[in-house]
Amino acid sequence: MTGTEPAPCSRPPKVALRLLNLLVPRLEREFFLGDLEQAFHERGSRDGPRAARRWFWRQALAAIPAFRSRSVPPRKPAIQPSRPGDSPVRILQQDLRYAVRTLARTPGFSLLAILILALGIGATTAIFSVVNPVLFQPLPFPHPEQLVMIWEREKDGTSDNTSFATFSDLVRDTKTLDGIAVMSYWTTTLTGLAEPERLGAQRVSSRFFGVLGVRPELGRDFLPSEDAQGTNHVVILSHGLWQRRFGNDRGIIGKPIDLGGVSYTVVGVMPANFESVLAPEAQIWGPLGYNATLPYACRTCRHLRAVARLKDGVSQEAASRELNQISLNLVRQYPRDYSAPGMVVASLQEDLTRAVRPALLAVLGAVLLVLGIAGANVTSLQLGRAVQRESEFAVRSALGAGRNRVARQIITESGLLGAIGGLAGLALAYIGTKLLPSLSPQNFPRLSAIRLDGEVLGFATGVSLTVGIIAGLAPALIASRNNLRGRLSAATKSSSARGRRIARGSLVVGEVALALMLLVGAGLLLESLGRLLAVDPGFEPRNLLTMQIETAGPRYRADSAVGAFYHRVLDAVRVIPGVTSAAVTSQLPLGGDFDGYGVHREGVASSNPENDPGADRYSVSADYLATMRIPIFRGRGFTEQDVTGGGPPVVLINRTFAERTWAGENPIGRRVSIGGIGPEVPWRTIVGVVGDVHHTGLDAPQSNQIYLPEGQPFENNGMVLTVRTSLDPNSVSASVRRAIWSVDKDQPVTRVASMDRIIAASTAQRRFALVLFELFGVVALVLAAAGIYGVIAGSVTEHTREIGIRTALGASRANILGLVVRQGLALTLGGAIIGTGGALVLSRLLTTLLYGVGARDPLTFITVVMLLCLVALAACCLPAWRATRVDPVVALRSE
Amino acid sequence: MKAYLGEFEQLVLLAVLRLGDDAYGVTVHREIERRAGRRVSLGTVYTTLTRLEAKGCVLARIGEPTTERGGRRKKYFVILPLGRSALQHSFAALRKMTRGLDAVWEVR
Repeated sequence: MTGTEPAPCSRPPKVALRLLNLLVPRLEREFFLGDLEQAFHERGSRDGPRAARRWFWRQALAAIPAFRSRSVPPRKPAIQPSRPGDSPVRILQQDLRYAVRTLARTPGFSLLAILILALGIGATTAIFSVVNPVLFQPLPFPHPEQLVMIWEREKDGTSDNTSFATFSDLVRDTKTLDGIAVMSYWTTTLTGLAEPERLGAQRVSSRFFGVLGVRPELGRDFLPSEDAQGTNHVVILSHGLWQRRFGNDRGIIGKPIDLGGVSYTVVGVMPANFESVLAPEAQIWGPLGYNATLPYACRTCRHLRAVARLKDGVSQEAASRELNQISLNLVRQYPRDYSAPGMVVASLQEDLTRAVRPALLAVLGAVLLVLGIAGANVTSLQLGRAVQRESEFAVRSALGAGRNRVARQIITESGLLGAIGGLAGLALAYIGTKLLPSLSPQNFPRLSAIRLDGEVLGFATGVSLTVGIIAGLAPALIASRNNLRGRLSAATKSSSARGRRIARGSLVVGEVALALMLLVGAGLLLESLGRLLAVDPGFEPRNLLTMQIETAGPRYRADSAVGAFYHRVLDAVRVIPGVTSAAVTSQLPLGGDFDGYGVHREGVASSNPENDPGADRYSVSADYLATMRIPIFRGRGFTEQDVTGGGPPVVLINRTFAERTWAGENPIGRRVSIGGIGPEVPWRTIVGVVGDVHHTGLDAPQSNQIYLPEGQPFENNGMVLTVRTSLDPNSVSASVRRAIWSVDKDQPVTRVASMDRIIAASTAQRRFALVLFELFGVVALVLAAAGIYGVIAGSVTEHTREIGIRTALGASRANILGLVVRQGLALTLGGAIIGTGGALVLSRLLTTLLYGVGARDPLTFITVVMLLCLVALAACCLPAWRATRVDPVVALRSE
Repeated sequence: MKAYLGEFEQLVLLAVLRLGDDAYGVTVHREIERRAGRRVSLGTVYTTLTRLEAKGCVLARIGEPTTERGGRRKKYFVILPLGRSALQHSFAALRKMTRGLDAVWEVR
């Protein structure tokens, strides 16, 4: 085999050799190339140099698949230095792959970080999904910015409804409005089908849908000619009602349906995406059907809401100026019908959301604080982990990874955590969007628009990545700065450790500060709700059952029939076991409805009836005061004779009305006229002064109130039945309903609720804010405690040696304990000071939600700071105890 | 532990067995070419030898450098007991599977 002399100038081809050099693993290169060259020379001496060279090339090329397909792939270095040619996408892919591997190696850390991020992102996303349609999304109508509400301005600057007469004048005179429509609440009963159903409805003027810019999906809109008395027995159905009760029957158009015993013709069905923002409960619409001769079309009968569309290019201010001018002319023309000139033009969106805006903004702020705490916590966790990864970073940079590359890697990992946390957070947010509507106040606008839509998903994505990346910035910065200084030396290790300790300490201070602000908010709201619920409503709310009952249908055209119905119902209810008394009233305090009238005093000359005092009017049965336990201070209550209509017209007034209007005088025996003066309005004698009742809300200023006997006369087509019980009111509700139906089985019974529940509903906005603040507050407290725990535990581990030396030198357990706890408390106090400052500034934003407590209530602040310190102390306990268990011998040997 | 051999691995092992203490890339390659009439690349032979080494069928030993190899050393291979028993298993299996087939399939 050997001994063949190498032919001169016959060497293996250089290019093929170089190729093989690249291809063949270094360990085997020498032997394989040796074999090749030896065989090459043998070939050369046998077949000639050209054939040998060809052969060598063939062998070299054949070696490519042979060495490529080797079973064990060469191990790639953990992180490859990026080459100039690498595309950013490729680098990101590499980083992501490595990030997945790194996070999977420490599942405990990763899961904790993901859980914390999911909490923060989930809560933020859920709240955003509620807030977005209300505060940020435009209303679902074409050119929503042109839609405005129009109110009459009262003397005290508040906004009031408008009347049909004023509306008609506005339609005639305006040049800035493209259209204006009025509407009133309407509830009706769908009868003639399987079972009667009470429906929320709306009476609207004919241009209503046109002003909003929507059209029925089936059939047609109302005609102007239908908006008149006699011709207004037509209705448009909501898509939901059409589906639910009429089985999607497209032939319904032109057919009659029965509403409260009256036949109406269906002329249209609204599309499914039509959102009835002005009356969320409305499922059916009918034309208003007013004309100026109707008694309730009078100029002072302000019971209509007006919505309008601005003409193209007309600003809200311009419209406001014009309407004020029109109003001024009207006041000149009808001085006795207006208390002050002026119209309020308000953007529809703002008008709808004004009531809930403070609570929503507060909750949004609260959830952002939670997000901040979650982000700080994850940053702190990553800083803690960076200590353990110090040598990994050092090795990697020794292998040629630039400091940017290491920083980028940390940020990629953090961003990945954010993305996974965001996904988990979306699941939480989904649950949140299902739960939040049930928690929200009754009249919450745009409830149906709350869902996880594209905008919410986009928001969640943005928040996840932003929080993930920001949470990675500090660890990345510290790691890369460390890289710059030098690699594996012990000196830089300790300096970067100090950097991390300072960073983690500041993060904990920040977390404590944010948690304190949240807890102060929660504390103030809790205190407010407590004080609000302690307000005496003016009646006894416990053991009181209420429900709405009706007298619908042609049988009840006559007052006598209506009166007989209520009396028979009351008689039937009173004999139910567990019922002590029962009464009916036209308005229920705190029930959400109101019915205000002007009260004119006999003998008091007033040039303008609009300047007469206004009062809430209750039309009640004789037992009402006794059932509600409203006290009588002077005179007497109502007798059966007052109610059945035998006696002269009488009235009761509340104490506040008496003191305001007849200060120092005895109002008993005085006569008043309610709802204007005229031959058709009787003078009523005041026969009693009764206790004040909170009507619009426990926090509302006390209003004037008047009580009329129910039969003098009837003008309500529905009454609220109030039942005083000796048992749990909910337990008798079924028997009460049966009693009502024993009198007339066709009458719907709705809004069945105990008074306790009605009071709870009247405080729903505060409760909504409070529940969320409490929830977020607890999360914040737990996260802040976890942050304190993490930092103190890390510090104890880092200082094991120092603690060991101290113990060896005679420090007692109490000394060591004190050392650790002091450190924790220092961080907490630092955070508490900053947080108190922040809370002093931010709590003012809660002012509108507070009741009976100042935004800077010292007691709340002190309580919250003490609570935080206690929790911080608890968080320090475990690490402190561990510090006392440090064995000096072991600790000193460890380094 | 048992080693299972592919067909080409069997050829390479048999060549190593035949060559005794002169088995290295070039000689194994030549032996297979001459005896089995199989034309394969040196690279394939070499990677197969490396694979057999990893399986524990052969043992490698580094030899001296020579000029005709451009001053590179040889890597000699000798068969190990595991390789021997693996070969015997393969051959026994083949024999069992072909027994009695002489009538229908003339074995030369």
